[in-house]
Amino acid sequence: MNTRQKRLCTYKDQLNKDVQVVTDAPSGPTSAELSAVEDMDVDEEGNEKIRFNDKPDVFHPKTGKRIPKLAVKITEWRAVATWRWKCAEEDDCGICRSPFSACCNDCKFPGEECPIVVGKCSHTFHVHCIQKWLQSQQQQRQTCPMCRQDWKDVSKA
Amino acid sequence: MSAPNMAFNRIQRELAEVAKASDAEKGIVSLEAKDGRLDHLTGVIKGPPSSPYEGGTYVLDIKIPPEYPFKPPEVKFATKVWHPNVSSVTGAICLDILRTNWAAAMTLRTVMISIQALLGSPVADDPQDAVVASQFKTNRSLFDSTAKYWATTYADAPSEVPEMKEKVAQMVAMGFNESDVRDTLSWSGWDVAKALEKLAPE
Ligand SMILES: [Zn+2]
Ligand SMILES: [Zn+2]
Ligand SMILES: [Zn+2]
Repeated sequence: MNTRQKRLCTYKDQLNKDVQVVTDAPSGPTSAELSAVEDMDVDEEGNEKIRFNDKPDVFHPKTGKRIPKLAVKITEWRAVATWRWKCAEEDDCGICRSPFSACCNDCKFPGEECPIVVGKCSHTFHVHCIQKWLQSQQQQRQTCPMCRQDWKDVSKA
Repeated sequence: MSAPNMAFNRIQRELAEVAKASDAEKGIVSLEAKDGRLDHLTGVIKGPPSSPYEGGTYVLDIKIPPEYPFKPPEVKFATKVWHPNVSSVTGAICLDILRTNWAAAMTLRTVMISIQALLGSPVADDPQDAVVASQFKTNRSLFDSTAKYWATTYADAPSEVPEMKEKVAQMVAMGFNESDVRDTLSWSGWDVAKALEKLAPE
């Protein structure tokens, strides 16, 4: 199928380093899929290599079909730079990048008026910021802007 | 929707973050506001090592829509570049995160680093420039030298491509405009006769 195109995308590996990968998935891997990346090797020249699930194939007991281990295949990747989201995951809202001790751009006072919500993926945003993001996604799947997993608000549960 | 308060606040934070980055990192990407305007910025990236763009300095023109960061920034190359995913005419970039794969938590810095990575890993199946993409697929060595020639000519890369320089000089001596000659020769696969036909049709 040539409708599947190679895509460049950025993700954070287990060493908390951002790497660029070229995948054959239309929208790039989700972080859940990437957590299935088995491990990284460093060869003599210091080039790191990702090794994917080398485990034997698993077959469905009833249908006998092979159960896919990963929705994406990384065909090529190269590390281009090292950086971290500066505090974004701890103290700042990843959308407006204001600290959680302050409110979003539309509010005047932090706290009750501008609450902070947590997703299933454990990423945190001002409620007004994530609402705007989800609205802007419209027909598309509603995903977390940090990790692209489906967004589900778990802060009220 | 509210006024572009959010866009401006975020851009200000992003500029501060890039400014705080280490010198080593500043050498890779840099960002500044154009005439103090927060809706129009200039980014600079370095051509990635072991690519035809190595040693080149590439200027990016970045426009911030009022809906930023809910809509992606509009980014194009201001420096001419020969690459399958960049228009050799307009500098428009074909990169998924600038279109459907944008996410509000991405920053101009991640965008610039992704563009730098795109320079190093062209995606020929998703081309922005069909001429360049087909050359990339069918004649890789000519693609590499053309990209290198453009890097030397437009991005101050140190490498030289003497055969191409010579062909350009030869046609400029006939009275054609130098930048037209470079474009036409590149688009004609450095075939002087073909380029002549395009520049001076009967
Ligand atoms: Zn926020
Ligand atoms: Zn708010
Ligand atoms: Zn998330």
